[in-house]
Amino acid sequence: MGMTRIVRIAVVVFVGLAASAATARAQQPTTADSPQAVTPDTFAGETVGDVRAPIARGNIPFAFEPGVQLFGEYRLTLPRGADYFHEFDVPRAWAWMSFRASDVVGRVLLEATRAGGEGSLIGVGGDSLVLRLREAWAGYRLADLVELRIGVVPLPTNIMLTAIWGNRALAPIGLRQLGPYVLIQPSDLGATARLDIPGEWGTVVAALTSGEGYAARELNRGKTFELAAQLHPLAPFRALRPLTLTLAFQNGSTGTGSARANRWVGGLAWADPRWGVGVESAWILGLEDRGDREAVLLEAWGRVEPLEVFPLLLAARFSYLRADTQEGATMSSLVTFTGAIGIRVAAPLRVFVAVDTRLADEEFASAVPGLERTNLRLIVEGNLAGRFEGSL
Amino acid sequence: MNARAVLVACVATLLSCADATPAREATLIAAITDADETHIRARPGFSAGKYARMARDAYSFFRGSVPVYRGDFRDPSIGVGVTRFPAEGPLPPGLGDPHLENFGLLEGGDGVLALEPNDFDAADRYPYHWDLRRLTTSLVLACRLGNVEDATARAALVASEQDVVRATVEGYAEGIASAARTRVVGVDDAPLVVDLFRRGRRDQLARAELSGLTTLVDGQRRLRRGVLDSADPEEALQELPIHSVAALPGALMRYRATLLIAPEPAFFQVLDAVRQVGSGVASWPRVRVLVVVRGATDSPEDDVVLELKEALDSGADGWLPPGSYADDLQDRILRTTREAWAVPDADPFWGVTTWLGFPMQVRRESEAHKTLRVERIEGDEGNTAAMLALARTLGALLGRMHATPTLGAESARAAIAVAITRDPAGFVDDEVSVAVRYASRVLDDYALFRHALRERGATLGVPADERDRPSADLRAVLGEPEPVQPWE
Repeated sequence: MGMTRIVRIAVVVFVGLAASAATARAQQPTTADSPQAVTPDTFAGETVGDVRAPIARGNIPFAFEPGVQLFGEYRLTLPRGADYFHEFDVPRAWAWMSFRASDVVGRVLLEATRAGGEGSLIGVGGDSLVLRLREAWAGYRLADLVELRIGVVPLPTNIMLTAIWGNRALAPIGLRQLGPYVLIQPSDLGATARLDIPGEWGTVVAALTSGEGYAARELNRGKTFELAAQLHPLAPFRALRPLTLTLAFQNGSTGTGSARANRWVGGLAWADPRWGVGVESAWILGLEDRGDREAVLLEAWGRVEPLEVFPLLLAARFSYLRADTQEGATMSSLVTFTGAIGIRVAAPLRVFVAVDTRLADEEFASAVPGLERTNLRLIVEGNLAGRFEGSL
Repeated sequence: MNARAVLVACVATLLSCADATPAREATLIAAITDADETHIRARPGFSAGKYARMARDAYSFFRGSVPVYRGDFRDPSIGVGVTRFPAEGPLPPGLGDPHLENFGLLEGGDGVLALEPNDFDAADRYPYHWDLRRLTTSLVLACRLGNVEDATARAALVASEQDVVRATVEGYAEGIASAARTRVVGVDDAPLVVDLFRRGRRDQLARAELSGLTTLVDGQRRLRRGVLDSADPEEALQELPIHSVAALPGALMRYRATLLIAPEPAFFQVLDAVRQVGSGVASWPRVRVLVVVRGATDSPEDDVVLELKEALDSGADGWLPPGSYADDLQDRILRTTREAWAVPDADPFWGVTTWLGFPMQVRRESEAHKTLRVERIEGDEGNTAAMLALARTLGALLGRMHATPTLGAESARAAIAVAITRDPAGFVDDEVSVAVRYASRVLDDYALFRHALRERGATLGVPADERDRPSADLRAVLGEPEPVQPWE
């Protein structure tokens, strides 16, 4: 390819971009201080916010919202009875593009992950950080009350509980990951239907999915049904609206053996942007592809930004898992605690120092050496999102 | 509106109902298919062969069911992973699957045969009781499954299975305590091992692998093709595609660089190569290649047969940080072999390489390398005294391996010694109880596995998908297995 041709192509691309920029009404990346924030940093949740309807005029108004979210951390691990280990890690690197054209909505969300699993020596390019799809869905909004989605869709229970916790960079909710256990999936291949109850009473979401999660293929005929509701029972009273009740149920199966994977979840929280406390509980029926195992999960959390004059952040989360509560089994228990102090350096950037401790009883600890450990972490969380509007 | 919503919810719930598979059977199938999914999808014929072999006898099922053991170990309600005697500190180098049939003879660099671990597919770092319980369970199974033709002898052995476990654990404790890297070149009071050495030495002198696997054509040694043993029609040697043979010299030069004492490059001149199918149990679907190389001289008498076997991840979980203890698969295998053996050159031809992108383990294919077999536990080799001596020997070998310092880390020996000597009698009793109980579970699981295979077919329920078919070049390398024989 000659140099002249490369220059011509570059000119065409440049002119095209310039023309589209003239059509689209670009905005500055939004932040928490902006009324149009897409991912408010005080509520850096598990998923990305909805795209607001475009306000541009034209036959088909559209809006694009790109964004990135990154958690970088330095972690010092002190396993019980073994040498320390320390490493830099990127627990999350997300990049997404949401769109809305009239009532058609959609999103593609990429996340970084290790090419090989834990303990694996086989991966892409060794064990590189690679990108994979976390979400890829298209949907339709009906009367701005109901939204239907299909594709690789985010699942409601994880979103709801993570959003009110608001500190995903510090710790996932216990249902998402507790020690070696992943108790619910954050997204999966399937479809969801969401109802936004008028009057800010809350949201109800139903999902029908494969059940194996977004990182695996379907392995059985059973489909997983999830129904979750996040309600504000005192919504009419503005000051009391942060009172939040979360209820969820999952009836599912995993693996070729169609092992039971059912969940009953309940939570009550006060979820104000500046401060929040909550308790959650889950009854787990089927654990790690073992349908006969049962467990109970109890969690409590709190977070506060106590000072008006200084952006200090405090947060803590406690989780307790009682596993093998089924009749005739030897029960075992696992406890985790995360405490953190941080500051908001700038609107889209938060820095924390956190300590995590995981304790297990004899049954757990001897079967999984290294399960008991304390981590000291320095965490940097960045959120950036923008919005571009236009019309066709 | 409300009625419609209820209807939709009901339909959705019905759609999501799990199949009525018994919970333990579902657990088994999930563990096995989760571990084997890529092979089931891309090499379905080979996976079918593996599962047929596992279904034919209970010990083969045990050999192929490490993923089930892994899940059970992590599940405190099963109990096989729980111990009152945990060892804190670094994890010892472990075999991962140290069952009876993963021990056998190796011909050392000095030409001496020694009893050593001879399978490192799953070798990595494990909690000490992972390995110990895998071994003790295998010995209980050997007691219950040996003496096929003699019900009285079998009953006698079953009656003493607890003593066999006790001997294994005591041997293990001795191995930990002594920390001596003693080479086992004969065990006078273990007839099974005595017989192993007798047969090994016989075939070592005869170079029996050359007559069994090769023929001389115009003075040039060629590997045979086809089924070599009509009693095992699934095992065969097949032609390799030309492009894959062309890649062997380079692979062997890389392999040569991993040997402790490397012969001259001319030693590894490729004379012939074939694909081997239908060998092993857990590793049945893996790529295997036999290569006959020139040896020290041009004389066909000193030609050497090498086996290249595809290496995969060990299956060990992350355990303690950093989670992975080797830079790559080959490094893991090399390191653990040299830590496991009494002398680093217990098999001087054991090395690693990469061939066509496959990480490969390379070893000498020799008829002198006899392996312990459950089917040989009969007659004089199948009485209680014989099994006790064997158990103590294998326990000591495992203890020796666990007591070995690992590269760049302190030995786990001290921590294990502290743990198991706190209450020696209680420790032994616990291990006996766990092994006997878990062996019974394995036998129950075997019945469930056969049921599942009968009901779900050779892929155990993993749905077939045309898109999983490998490329033409890869298919040519993988080949096709010989027709799988009925398993019941």
